[in-house]
Amino acid sequence: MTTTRILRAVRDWRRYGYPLIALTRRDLQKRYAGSILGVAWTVVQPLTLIVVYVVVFGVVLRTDRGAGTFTFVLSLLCGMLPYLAINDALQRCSFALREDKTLLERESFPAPVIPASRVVTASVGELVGLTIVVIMALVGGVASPWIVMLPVLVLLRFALTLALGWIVSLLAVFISDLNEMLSLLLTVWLFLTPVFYPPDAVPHALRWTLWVNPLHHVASAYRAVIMGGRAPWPETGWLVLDVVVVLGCAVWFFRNGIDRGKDLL
Amino acid sequence: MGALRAVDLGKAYRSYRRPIDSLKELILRRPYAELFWAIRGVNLDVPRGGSLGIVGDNGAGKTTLLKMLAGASSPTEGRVEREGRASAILSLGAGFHADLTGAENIRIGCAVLGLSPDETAELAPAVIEFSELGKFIDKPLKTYSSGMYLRLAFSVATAIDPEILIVDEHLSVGDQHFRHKCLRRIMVLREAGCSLVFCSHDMYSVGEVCERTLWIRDGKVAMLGTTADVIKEYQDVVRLGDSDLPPIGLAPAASPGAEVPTGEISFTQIELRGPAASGTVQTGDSLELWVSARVTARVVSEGLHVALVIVRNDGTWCYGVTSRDDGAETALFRLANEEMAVRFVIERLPLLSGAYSFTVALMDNSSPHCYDYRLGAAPFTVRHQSKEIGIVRLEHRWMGPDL
Repeated sequence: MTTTRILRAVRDWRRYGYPLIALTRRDLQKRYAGSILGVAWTVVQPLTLIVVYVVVFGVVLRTDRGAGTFTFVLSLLCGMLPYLAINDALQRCSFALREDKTLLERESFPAPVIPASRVVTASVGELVGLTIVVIMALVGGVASPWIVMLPVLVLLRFALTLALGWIVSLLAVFISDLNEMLSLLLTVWLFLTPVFYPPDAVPHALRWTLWVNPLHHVASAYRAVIMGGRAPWPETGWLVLDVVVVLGCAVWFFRNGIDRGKDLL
Repeated sequence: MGALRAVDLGKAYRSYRRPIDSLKELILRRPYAELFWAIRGVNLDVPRGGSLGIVGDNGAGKTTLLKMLAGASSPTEGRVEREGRASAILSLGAGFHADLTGAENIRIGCAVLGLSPDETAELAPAVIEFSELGKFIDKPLKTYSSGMYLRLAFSVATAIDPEILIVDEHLSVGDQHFRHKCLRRIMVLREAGCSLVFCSHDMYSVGEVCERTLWIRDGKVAMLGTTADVIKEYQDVVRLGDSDLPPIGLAPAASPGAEVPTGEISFTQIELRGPAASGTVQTGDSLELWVSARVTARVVSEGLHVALVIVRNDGTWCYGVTSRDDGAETALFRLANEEMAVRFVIERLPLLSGAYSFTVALMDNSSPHCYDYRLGAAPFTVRHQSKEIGIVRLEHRWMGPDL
């Protein structure tokens, strides 16, 4: 019983593994192929972003409220990098099934791989950006040993995005104007989350919104381990809860809806 | 291993006014769709090493059925049982990605079929070689022609030695050489015990490759049986659709034969008699047509004759002749005072399989006047057991080269 389950898991991994690699590679190639800088864009983009934030928020607007430009920029990036990864992933997922529909015509092609490849591609920028941020934190002396928790947090952020990506990719098949709605919703989400402003700037009456906002949990947990010098708690607990709930919905929806989706493609 | 079975298989496409209605239906569990049955009530059984042809007009539901058999679409009712690895070529480009290269698509194809990276690496060179794509194998599929797509699709589908192979009609886009290669590969696989489902508009290929054939018409099984039988029935119906309008100058008569029309001089009976009376006859058997008419003594004395044409149901005039040209004496046809009758007999019918009928006319001897005529009278079906094709069996023999 257990053996067959393990065998099936191994076989499924084979079925999922290479298609995921190939689609992700294709996605990366498509993104950067023919461009002058090529894959270097994955580094140039987050770097440019960081410089722009430092200049705009640290030098021009001075919105740091006395915390210092360095701290402010780190805090901003802790929110911005995961947001950009989620934003990018979901935008791409909303086109994914339509773009790759020929693959779905093969009976045994694992459909979940298609959105997953977009989520992986969209994570590259975050990984590069976080590397830069970690180096900044180490050099600036704000890092603590808790920083070793960061990969776990990134993994949770990835799982959350993957779940949202499955939902969005399939929803986009049913709702043709989802793409328009999505960019609007994502922008609203960004401004409802303490990224450009500190969490304590949120009025008390609205504090509860933070505790149902997974992006806030991610940003807050990143900040805790990168610059806060404390354990990412209770954020990690919230985040795990978010992931379980959203992933549960996503798996149910994708599993039950994909055949309907295929008929509509 | 390698058997395919369908039980009460049916697929309804739900047509929604808007795509979102499908989503509402999923979540609210309330029906929003109008069902359109693309195909329904299919029962079939392909044993290990067996082969099934599928024929039918465009839009009859063949592709929907193939997709379900391959597992690419889920049945609305009934079920498909597959024993063994199934591989399908459903439509060109299905299962492939246009942005990826041929080699990458091969690896995806193998991985999806459950091969490990090592097995894939082992298999890939043979697949590439079979496809004969050469340097194009490292180019994205969007640069391929449809023939090249076919090469890739066929190579991947047959690479893993499938136990069930499902092929929709696409071999025709390949060139002669590759088509031949594909058919040979199919034959080799079949000898190894692979079951085959083959859909084609090319009746000759189906006849050569498949033992049994399923004919689908308007989403239903019209016939399932040995290939030779099914193809002949199917072609009868196809020819009917091809049939021309009735010959100019003769308005279509309402009915075949038997009833008595109102004219003073008219046919009373046109029917098959003898062994062919049932309406079915084998090539080479005898065919006897009975024609009787009500006449007047005056008309008989002026002279009249019977003209008839055997017409295939696609409108082809197979053979026509008159009793006058043959020198048959109408006087001998007298049956009673006001009635005459004649039997038209073909001892050994040379017509091949098809659906035929007679066009019969009662003509005046001295002028082109036609007293009465019938279209589509005494319809009959011919069947032959050999693999001959065409309209008639011509007398012939094959001779050695000795001079």
